[in-house]
Amino acid sequence: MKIKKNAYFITGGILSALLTILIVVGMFWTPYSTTAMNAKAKMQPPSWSHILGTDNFGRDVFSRVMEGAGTSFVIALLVVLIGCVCGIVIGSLCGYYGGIADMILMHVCDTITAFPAILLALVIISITGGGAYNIVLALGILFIPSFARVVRTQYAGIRDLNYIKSARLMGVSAPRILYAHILPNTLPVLIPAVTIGFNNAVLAEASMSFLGIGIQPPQASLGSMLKDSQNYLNSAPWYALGTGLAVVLLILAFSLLSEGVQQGSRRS
Amino acid sequence: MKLVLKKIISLIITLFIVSLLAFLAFQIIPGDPTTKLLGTNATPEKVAQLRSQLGLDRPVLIRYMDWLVSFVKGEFGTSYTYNRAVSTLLADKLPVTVLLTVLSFLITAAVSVPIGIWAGSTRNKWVDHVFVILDQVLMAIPPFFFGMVSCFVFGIVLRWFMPGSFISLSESFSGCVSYLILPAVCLALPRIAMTVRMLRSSIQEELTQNYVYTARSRGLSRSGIMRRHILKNAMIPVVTFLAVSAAEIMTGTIIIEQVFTIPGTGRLLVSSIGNRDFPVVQAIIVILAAWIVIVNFTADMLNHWMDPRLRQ
Amino acid sequence: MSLLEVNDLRVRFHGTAPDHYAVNGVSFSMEQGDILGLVGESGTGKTVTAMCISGLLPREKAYRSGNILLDQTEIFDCTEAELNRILGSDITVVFQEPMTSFNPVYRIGRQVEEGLYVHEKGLDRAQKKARALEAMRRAGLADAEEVYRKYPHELSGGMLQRAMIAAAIVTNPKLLIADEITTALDVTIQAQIIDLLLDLNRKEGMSILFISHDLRVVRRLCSHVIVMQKGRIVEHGRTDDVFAHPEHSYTRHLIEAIPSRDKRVNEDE
Repeated sequence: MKIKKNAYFITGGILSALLTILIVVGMFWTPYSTTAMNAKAKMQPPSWSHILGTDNFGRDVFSRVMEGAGTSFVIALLVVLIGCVCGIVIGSLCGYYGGIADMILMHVCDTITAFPAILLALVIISITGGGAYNIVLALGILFIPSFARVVRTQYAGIRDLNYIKSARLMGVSAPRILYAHILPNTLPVLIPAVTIGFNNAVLAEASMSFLGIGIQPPQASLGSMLKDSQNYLNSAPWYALGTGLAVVLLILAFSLLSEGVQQGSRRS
Repeated sequence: MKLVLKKIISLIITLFIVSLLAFLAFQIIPGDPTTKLLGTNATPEKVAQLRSQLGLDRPVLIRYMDWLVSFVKGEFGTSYTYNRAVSTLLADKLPVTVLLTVLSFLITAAVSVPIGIWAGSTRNKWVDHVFVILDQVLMAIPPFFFGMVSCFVFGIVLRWFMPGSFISLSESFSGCVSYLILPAVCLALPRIAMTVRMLRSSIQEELTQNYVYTARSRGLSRSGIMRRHILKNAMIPVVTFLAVSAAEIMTGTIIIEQVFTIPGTGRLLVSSIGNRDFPVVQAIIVILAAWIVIVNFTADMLNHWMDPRLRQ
Repeated sequence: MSLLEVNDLRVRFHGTAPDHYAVNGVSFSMEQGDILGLVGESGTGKTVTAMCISGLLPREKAYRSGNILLDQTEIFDCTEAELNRILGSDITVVFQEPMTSFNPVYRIGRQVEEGLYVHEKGLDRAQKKARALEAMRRAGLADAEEVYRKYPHELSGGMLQRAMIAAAIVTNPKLLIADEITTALDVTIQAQIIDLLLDLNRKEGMSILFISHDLRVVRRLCSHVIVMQKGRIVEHGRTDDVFAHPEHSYTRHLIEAIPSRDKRVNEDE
């Protein structure tokens, strides 16, 4: 797949690369400790030593954003991984073989996607309880149908093309046709689906942690930090703004990248 | 007509399945509700007594039928935490959420449709870029962060309203509506961005169709073509999308009610999940799910009415 | 005085080479009651010529020079509003694809009446419907009432093309431009549509500019024929003369390309 470079692709690419680096660094090193409380430096506005200020316990907001973004990032990544891999397996089998199983599974997928993912995740979490593990599992399962749908459509279209037919006649095994011959051809639609899925996962995790039914303290994610910061909107608005902007940037970076990929591949 | 009947039957079946799934989902909860009510060191006799009192000792399907019949009658069970009927809990909360949803949906439709039409009929590279960027940015901002920023700007800096000082419906309808406008806008913004983009590309797609040439060859003006030919075609996919929006907005109220401290079903749902107050959770989830199924059904019917090709 | 006069028409699309003219110095005229055939392979500028005459080629898309006089009105000098007054009343166009030329979400009746909606505002609903039904019967749709209520997807290609012709003649235009209108149809339906056009020409004196790459059809239908190649006219004359004594090698080439079985059938006539 060749992508013609454009402003969206470049901006999105640079932004997501920078954020990824910041997040990866944040997993090993942050400018300040994210847990050490400092009563003397409570709720300080942004300054050169604390570029996003400090929170109600005197912790550096920027350091906490780095850590929280890491949690959100990893959760979103795992969610997309589960959704994408299972979606590819189900979608490829349904699309390639068709039949009644395909019809039923796709009907189930359509029914599930008719409901907002957050609502279904709320149902699951209300039963299983919160925590990172349950969030990943719940959202991951809920993301399968959208991937399966996209992949199925591609496979159903490609399966009857001549080069696949001739590969079949030459005795190439089904798994090889499915994943070595057809899968690469689904990339132009799969890549945007992955980035959109990633964004939805970031948003869903942030929403659920914001509601207090996602990531539980002491672990921090961007959503749980936003929930916390809401109480100090009056006295420490930088806490909320800094954290929120991190969510916005994270989503924006990847959606710009996806837009760039789509525009670039459309033109070529 | 036959088709409508078929659709209605399939709607009813879908509602049955959704309600059954919602019912079953709350049967597999780890931990017995009796433990919650009586504490862990209750005597077995007391537990058994409560179980039969709550009807927990009968087969699942019978309990489903009973539950469904009473649900349709508006008896949603009793809350574990408040020890009151769920229906009375919902009576003053549901209208607030419905009002918020309706407001937000109306804002979405009223703003996005005219802008989308204007944007669709303007062919300009710069307008293109402005819309893509606006769309990207608006979609990247989670509604609850939008809500927090507007609480900060309009509530704390400008002091136009007091965040948290919700005016209930019974106090003053107009007061309630004016408090709900800001949260409704926050919920609507990402949906507006998406709808505008969709309507715009839908119109531009239709503009390349052959029937547009036919219409021009009849001497119809540009605005005439837009009005008499393009709009109905372009709106067909958008109607489906608006239905999805209605569902997303209803779900979005759960979060936005937290931000603006609006005492609606969303807040009740979140606190009930925290308290593991399952009759309340179940009732709200089923109502939301039914709403979504019905909204999708309405969109489907609208599409059939608009697009004769689907009526075959 | 001619119905249509085209003088030294040149068209070059924006973004193409400066010497690459889609239409390069085309001149011809057409009298009231003529059926003029415009033939040539695809990409020879037939449709571009027709689009210029019907004013459907926008100024933003191409450089145009020369004049086109329709009943002494200069098409290139018209404002958009003036053009809209001519289009659909003096000139109407029927296109190649009947299926996509109709708007899929509206009934046939409404679309047949469109010309009346635009140009004869005074008519009420019943009058418009009566005129539409009349036009549909003229176009050979016997059960006009039935077709009036149908949606495009419910009709066959041949029926749709008849309905399209009805929509084009409902305002009694001076000139009907038919752009490859038989190409997308089955051979038997093609013959019916050709007969219909001949009928309209004989009974009502309808002038028709008939664009096609199919010489058999042109031979049966047209009184005069123009052969175009690479944006230029290579041959122009009465149909019988052109077919009997083709002067240009390209024309001979085209005539030779007609399948031989058809030639024999034609010779038997």
